[in-house]
Amino acid sequence: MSKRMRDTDDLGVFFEAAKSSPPAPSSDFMARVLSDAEAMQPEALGVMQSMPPQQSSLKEFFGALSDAIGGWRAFAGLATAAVTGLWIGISPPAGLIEPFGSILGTDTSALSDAFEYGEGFDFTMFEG
Amino acid sequence: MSMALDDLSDVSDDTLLQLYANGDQSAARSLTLRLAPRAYNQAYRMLGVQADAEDVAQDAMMRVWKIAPEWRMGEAKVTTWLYRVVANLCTDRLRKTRATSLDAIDEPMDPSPSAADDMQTNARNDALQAALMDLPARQREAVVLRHIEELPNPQIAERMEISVEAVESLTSRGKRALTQLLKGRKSALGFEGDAP
Repeated sequence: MSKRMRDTDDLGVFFEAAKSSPPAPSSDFMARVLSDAEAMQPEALGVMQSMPPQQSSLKEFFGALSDAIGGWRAFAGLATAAVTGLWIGISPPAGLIEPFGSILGTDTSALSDAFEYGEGFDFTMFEG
Repeated sequence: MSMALDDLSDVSDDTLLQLYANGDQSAARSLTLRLAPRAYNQAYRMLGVQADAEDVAQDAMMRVWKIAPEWRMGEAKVTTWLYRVVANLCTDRLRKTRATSLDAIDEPMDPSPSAADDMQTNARNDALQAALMDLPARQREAVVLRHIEELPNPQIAERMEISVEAVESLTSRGKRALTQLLKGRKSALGFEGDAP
């Protein structure tokens, strides 16, 4: 056997050794790679991004509502309308009762009796 | 950490990537089991240091996860693409750090001291790895692909993006250099017993 052949055989033994015991990754490394895979999986990211922000307080809720209806001015207008409606409901002025009665085709005094108040603001005065 | 065997072993790599991109968790596990050891193995052969090889392989695998949603089926082989990624990362790392000295080569991870044959195999493996680290990076890459991974020259040429002739030249020069590097270590590695 020539010297060159001997050298080739010797290298073959080294290569066989390398093939029979390949470098094995550690279990920690495998765990890290799998953890990266799970963290970066598109579906997981999608779920996180599509989750609505949590309403942690009433302040946030009303903040969102205020934004939705047009800010604090809209809130002020809404509050004024609500108070006015309540007032008219409790103590309707005579000018409102009479046309309402004529539309219904009945006597306005009957309506007044039905609601148990007299004219104007008497009801509130009586109650208060 | 214990991992179940790859239960999607008959599914192609690019199909697994698509499944992964669609949120299939078993695909994440299968790809990890299939590709991470391969990336680590290649990086270790190129770098010779376990910690560096793990860093590079983990970085390469991160790129796999990132590209999954954009991967186009049938256009490229996942393993070829991953090989190039690992090779480039290794080259970058080797450029940044001085050539690794023989002292920095890791000791065998699991030497099995009770078995003489295993010890001899590990010693030869380590000697080869140390000698490989003394080769220029391209020679080392070609020799590993040809004589350890046992790939045919055309496939090596494709992976290394060079001609088949260039592969033959690199492997030939690499083997000559290895022979010289390992010559002085024969007796220490039990070659007397192997010789006729």
